[in-house]
Amino acid sequence: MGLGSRISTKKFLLFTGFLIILSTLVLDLIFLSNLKSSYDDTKKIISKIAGSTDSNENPIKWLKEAPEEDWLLQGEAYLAFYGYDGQTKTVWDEKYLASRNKIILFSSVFDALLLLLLFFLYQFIKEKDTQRVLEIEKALRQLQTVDFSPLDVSSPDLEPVLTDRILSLQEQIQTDHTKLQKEKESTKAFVTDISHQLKTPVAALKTNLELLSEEDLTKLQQTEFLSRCTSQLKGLENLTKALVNISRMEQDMIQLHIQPARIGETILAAVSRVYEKASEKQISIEMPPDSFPERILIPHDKKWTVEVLVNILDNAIKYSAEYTHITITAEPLVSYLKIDIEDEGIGIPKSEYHNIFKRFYRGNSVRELEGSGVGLYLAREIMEKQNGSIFVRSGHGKKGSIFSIQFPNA
Amino acid sequence: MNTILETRDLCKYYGTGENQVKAVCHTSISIEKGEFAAIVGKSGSGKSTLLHLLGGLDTPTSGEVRIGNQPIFSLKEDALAAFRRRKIGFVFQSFNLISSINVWENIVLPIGLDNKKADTSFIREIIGILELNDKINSMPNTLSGGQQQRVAIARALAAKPDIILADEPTGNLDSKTSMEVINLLKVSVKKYGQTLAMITHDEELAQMADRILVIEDGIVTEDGKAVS
Repeated sequence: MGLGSRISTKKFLLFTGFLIILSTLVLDLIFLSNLKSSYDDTKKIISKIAGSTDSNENPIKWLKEAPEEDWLLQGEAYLAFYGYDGQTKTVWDEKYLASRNKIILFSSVFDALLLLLLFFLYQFIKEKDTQRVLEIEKALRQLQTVDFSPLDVSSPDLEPVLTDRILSLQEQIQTDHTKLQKEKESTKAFVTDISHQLKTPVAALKTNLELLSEEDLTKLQQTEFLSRCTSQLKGLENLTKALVNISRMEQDMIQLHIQPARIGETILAAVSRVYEKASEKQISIEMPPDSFPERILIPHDKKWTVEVLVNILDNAIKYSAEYTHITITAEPLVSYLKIDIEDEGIGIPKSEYHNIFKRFYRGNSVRELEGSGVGLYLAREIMEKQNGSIFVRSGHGKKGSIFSIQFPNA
Repeated sequence: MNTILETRDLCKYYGTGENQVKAVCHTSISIEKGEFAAIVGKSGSGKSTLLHLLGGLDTPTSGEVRIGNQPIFSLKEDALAAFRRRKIGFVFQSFNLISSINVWENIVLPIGLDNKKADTSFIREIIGILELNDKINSMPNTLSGGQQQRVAIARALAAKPDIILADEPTGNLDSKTSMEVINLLKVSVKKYGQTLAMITHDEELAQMADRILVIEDGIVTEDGKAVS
């Protein structure tokens, strides 16, 4: 359908018009020749009758038999004798001529009307085509100027397919535009956030270095300032690492390789990365064997899921007291595998549940502890990219937190 | 920027004089296309009234609701009903499934009521995502709560509405199933570029949203901050 059908309609119109005119012409010729021959027959019969008034032959016989050619000449001679010599018409002459003229007149008028109709139809379609083209052109021009006011493509001349296509094109452009705009804004926000995040540790580092450069420092003071500098540098290093991850994630530079793998191994890989930190605080990380999902195959991106788990475990260790426990359990749901990481730490107020997953968000109660506020944000991004989710609730007995991550089964 | 659902100075009052209850009070919010917004509030905060207004199920005392830039309350009743059927999918706490017909029929029925042809391949896809493949011939009362809510979600998604309005969609489910159902809802909504507005009292559930609006005594604020 669409434009093609419209063009062939034009062709079809011309073709049928031509065919109708041609067939009326042919029909006319046939009618005329029939008329002529029956006129001739009549003439022949009349002339025979006229020529044989003396004879006793039955005139009906001539009506039955086809008259011969020479009767005509004979008959014409008789008729001329009676004064019908071409100028004076007999009744049948007049009838014949009248019929012939009628046929010619009617068919000419018919053909002329038809031609006129075809011409107007053709003009009409052409006009409509021009209107359609103009309308499409207008719509496309509007699309080009990134003008998102509703497109006027409601004209009944436009095929719905075309209208739909144009409208969906506008929607597409609009979505892309919005996305672009959003990206621009988020990059701006990101840069602001980064500079804000870097300002404090850099300023602190600067102060400490300035203090260090002063001459009258005791050995003890020197060591103290040096260790402060080191820890600030370490903080900066962690922050930049996290920032690199986030920016890669946000630029969609990270392609997740989601394939079925043993989630148990992924958990182990994450635990081994935080093991040292945990053992420094004598925190045990437990995976009850009955729920430890070593053999469970679940589609996930191993590398980035380790990041998610490390971020959660890091927090769990950071915000827990010494000699506490972290428990990791897995639970298959209908469509998901859920992994719970429960700690016995300071817990998170309910009103903060949503906020902790925001970029650079630091809860009021943890302001003084080191941290960049990007770990959980990154974790959420990674989980959402895997069509899963991450959420938190308070631990059993209202102590600590349970972070849960869900992976779709398929 | 690409606002699909918008309220302008929306108010809904019940009663008069001293008994007047301001269920929704001068609310101007806008929800972007593709967003998952949670509207969180305690019971009696006016959140259900707000959702009913957003869905055109209730008429406001003043102000307007715009869906895709169409002020919905300027539509005549029939037109509004048709508009609602085409643009909005509802998921309620009580699943509202019809018990005398099977799961497939429950999902497809509303489309038929709108005199449209069901896009069966699309519906099969949704059914697959919601893991209802082997349940399509079952009767609703043979399903668990979680499964029934999946059916209700499939029904809401089936007509490809622009907006899904969910009122405590997991109110009847345990917390484990709740998170699963919300995850499913979120994934399907993202996949089909739809917009999801969910009403809940549960902050645990709300953390799954892209954005949180808090409603308290009929006044909506953006995640703690007032919405201007």
